[in-house]
Amino acid sequence: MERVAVENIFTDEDKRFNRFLVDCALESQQKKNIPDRRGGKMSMGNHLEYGLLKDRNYDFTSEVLTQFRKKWGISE
Amino acid sequence: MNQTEIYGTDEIALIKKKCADSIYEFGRMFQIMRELYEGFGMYYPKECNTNYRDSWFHYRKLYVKKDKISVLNEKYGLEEHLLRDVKDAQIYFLQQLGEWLMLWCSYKKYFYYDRTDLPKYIAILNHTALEEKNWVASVWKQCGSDRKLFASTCLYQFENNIESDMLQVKLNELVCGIKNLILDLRLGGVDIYRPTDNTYYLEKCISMYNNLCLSLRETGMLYLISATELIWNECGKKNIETN
Repeated sequence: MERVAVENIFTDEDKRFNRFLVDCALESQQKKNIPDRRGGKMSMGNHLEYGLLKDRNYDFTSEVLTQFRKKWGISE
Repeated sequence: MNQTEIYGTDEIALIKKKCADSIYEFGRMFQIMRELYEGFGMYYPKECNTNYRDSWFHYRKLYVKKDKISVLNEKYGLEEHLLRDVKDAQIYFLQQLGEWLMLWCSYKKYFYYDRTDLPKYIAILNHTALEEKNWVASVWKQCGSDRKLFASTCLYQFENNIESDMLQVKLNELVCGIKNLILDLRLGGVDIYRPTDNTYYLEKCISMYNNLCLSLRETGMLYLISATELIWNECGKKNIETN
């Protein structure tokens, strides 16, 4: 399998630190009764979506979305 | 085709070989996806591992089934689990990354930090080796275990020394690219689209990852990305409103 190589930018130490930051965030979310996403839950954190969805107007301008609209008869 | 039609030994052997090759090929793809997850400290979804495991169950059944219908059922079941697995891994990765970046695109809307403590943040940054690549790790060391101080200092540094019009353009570009790729992946699912080359979307994910890393590294923004949720917990506007 020929493929594009993954850029090796993060050192092992960076990766460990990044995991540590994610763990810290997940721990404090658990204290607020936000379910732990470690190793699971396909749905992205609802806690973020609250803020993001409010202002989200699905600002796609791509052909993909046009095709989707056409296919499912969704008007703009 | 009926239940009594059976495959010959050679035909079964060929199907087994193809399935084993798929398991191997997809296994390598998952390894690469894991590399992307590990870069940002994310957790690889458990669902992906269970789908991979389930593909092995189908493979194992090929050793006891002989009739064409059952063999084809197992073969397609195996393919389905592998495809679902890799698609889930890609979508989850892109969603997580996209949501984090979106917060930084409009950080003023989502983040808030106490500006009365500016001298504290400046003092911390003065003692931080900002020339080090991973300046976020240096700030963490300086802040001890004070998460609030860490989050506020990172926001201060972002606002004063990292953020720029060019960076915002780049962030928006990346977010749009990620959203489009997610949409493409999901629409492929709706159409039951199967790319002839299974690595097509994987390569897109790798290119996205590489592009993101290379374009955000110079400004130091790259090292802030994994801290997004921690900063959001401490300095997110919604959290401040509800606390």
